This record gives sequence, structure tokens and C-alpha cells, in this order.
Amino acid sequence: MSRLPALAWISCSALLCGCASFSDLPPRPTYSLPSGATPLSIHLTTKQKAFLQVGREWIDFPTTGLVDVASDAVRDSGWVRAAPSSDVAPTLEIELIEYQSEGPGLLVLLTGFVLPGAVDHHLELKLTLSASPGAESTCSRSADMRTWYQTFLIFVYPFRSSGYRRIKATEALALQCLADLLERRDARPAAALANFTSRVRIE
Amino acid sequence: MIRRVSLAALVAVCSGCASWFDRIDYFDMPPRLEYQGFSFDRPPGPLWYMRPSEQSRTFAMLWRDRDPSKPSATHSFFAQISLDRLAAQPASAEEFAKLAEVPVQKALYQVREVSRQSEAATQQGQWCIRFETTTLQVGAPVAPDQELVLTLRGLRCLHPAFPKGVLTFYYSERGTREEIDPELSEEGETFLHGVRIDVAPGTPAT
Repeated sequence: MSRLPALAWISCSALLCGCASFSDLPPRPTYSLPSGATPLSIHLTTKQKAFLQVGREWIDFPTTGLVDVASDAVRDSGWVRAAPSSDVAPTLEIELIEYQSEGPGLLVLLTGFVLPGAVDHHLELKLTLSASPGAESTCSRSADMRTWYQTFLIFVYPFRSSGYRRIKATEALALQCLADLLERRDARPAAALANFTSRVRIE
Repeated sequence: MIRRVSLAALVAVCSGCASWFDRIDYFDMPPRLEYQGFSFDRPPGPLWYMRPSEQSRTFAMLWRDRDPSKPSATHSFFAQISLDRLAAQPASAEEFAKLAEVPVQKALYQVREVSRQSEAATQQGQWCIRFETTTLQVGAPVAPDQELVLTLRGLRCLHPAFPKGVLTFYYSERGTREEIDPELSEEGETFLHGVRIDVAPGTPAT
């Protein structure tokens, strides 16, 4: 292999893989359904926005599909189940906003990632459970993740992939919020629940 | 002549550069910021920033950009914390409430206060008042022909480590009626919850 293709290959590898994230992941909740309870039927909707910081401005940025990760985590939790579209059921809206800071810097790029650089990500997840208009319960969670870029991080990448850790962070945030909303729902006073149940029966 | 023009250009470039660097973004802030007599959590989200030129040992000011998908020239949101002095040392919570009353907003344009609420509170065992004021403004330079709503919400607390010391921390939102965003109030409240009265660096008042 001549020197030029080898250098190109190394540069491409550094660009693609020489990054890693060491940020802590948000903890997963330890919620479990009350004994004998069945998973709540819900209609699931999603919204997603992404912004990139350019200088002092924030510009729209293509979304990464992380909201689908959150949606899958909610579905796979076993704490709720998707209601058939014809059924009347509460709606759970998942909204994810991603913010990304500017790139690692020109100097870092010029040195072929020998000098380290970082890109920051901020994930903001909001879950809104609405049984009826005006009867909404919301939960917001956020996480900061920093991705480091440096040539030698190519060896760490398989264990500390920033994309994979963002996926895991999104899952954890979604489950935290879902657990929070369900705990609040479970904690409603028994009397209120009885009234609510009887009213539903009459209808 | 060329020398003067060059000098003027150099001054312009330098002042431009200075204002460019006069900004600390959310991602560059530490998790907790320490000042004399108080500290606070990093504000809740990357749309917040601060300008070093606006800070001092006893004063902090943080700005919050509007949602990038809803740009506006007339809307602003910021939070402020300052260690101030009262006119006298209060002997009771009632006296503190009188001394710490929030002054009426004044400006060079038309300002009319439409509501004012104040109630006694405590934080870390200290006497506080929780206040909220709403003011209507007409003729503000950012929108000379529009009526703007200005809301301040926050607390004033007696500081135990400084004679006559009072810690004032609040958030302020100004904009047209349509621009006032309840979600920003949630962020403002989160910010207020992260403020702590300190009697020494890293030592909270109890």
C-alpha cells in the first residue's frame, strides 16, 4: 500500500471512529407495576426537534431519530401497552429536543485529531400523559453528554461509542419519566380513583 | 489619515472581538457557580448563557435565548442574583418584609404596574419574601409601538453572614402577551430552586 492511501485511510478512520463519550448515563428507574395491575393502554405520539449551535445562534438541525428510541423503550417497558387506534385511551406524547454544540474546532481538525476536541450534546425529553383535555401530567428529564474526538480514541470507540451512549441515555430518560408519571397515577387517593372508576362505569 | 483609519479599524476589531468573547455558554459553565454569599446550579438548558462583563463577586446575571424556532426581537428572559444591603437590620420577619419590599419599576418610557404580590417565606431558615410583579410597558426602544408585559418572580432573603445583607434572586420575562411562555416560568422556577445562601465558600446557611 502506498503512503497516500494509507494516510487517507487513517484520516478517515480517525474521523469516523476516533471519538468516545465518558459521560455518566442517567440511571434506569426501578419501577414495577402494582401487583395485579394490568399495563395502561395508551396512544403514543412523538415530536422531535434538533438544534445546532453555530456561533451564537441555534439553527435547525436534522433529527437523529432518538425519539423513536424513547418510544421503543416506553413500549418495551411492559408498564404500558399500545391501544388499538379505535379505542378511547389516554395519549402519551414523547417530545425530544436535542441540542448540539459546535464542532471540535478548526485546530483539532487541522491536526487530524491529534489534538483532542469535544462536542457537547444536551438531550431534553418531555413526556405528557393526557387522559382528557386539561387533565395532563407532564415529566421532563435532561442529560448532558460530551463526545471527545482524538485519534487514539479509535481504540476506545467499541466500548465507549458516543452514539450508543446517547441511545442508552435516551432510553433511561424515557423510562425515568414514564415511571414518574405512572407512580403519580398510582399514588392518586383511593377515593378519587373510586369516583373516577364509577364515573367511567356509568358512562 | 491612513494611520487614523487604521487605528479606528483596529479599535473596532478589538471591541468586536471583546464582545464576541464576552459570553459563557451553558456547555462551558461548571455544574455549580460560586459567588460571594451565594451559589447556584448551572441553569437548566443550553439556551442559557452569561456575559462575564455583567458579573461581579456579588452579582450574577444569566440570559436565556428564546426557542430558536420562535425568534423574536421583543422577547427577553433573564435571571439575576445579587447580594444587596438593606437600609437597616430587621428585628423581625415583618420588619424584614417591609424593608425588603421590591421597588416599583422605573424607566424612561411609560410603565404601569398592574399587579404586585408578596408573601412571607423562608429559605434555609432565613426570613424571605416571595414576590411577583407584573408591569405593562409602552414605548420601550425594542418595540416603541407595542405594549409589552414584564413579569418578575423571585425571592429576597436576609443573609445571615452580612450585616443588613439581603440576597435578591429572581427571573424576568418581557414580551408581547402572545410571547409570554409558561414553560419559561418552569425553567425560571428550576433556576430559583438551585440558588443557595452560603455563609462561606461551599458552606450553606442553615
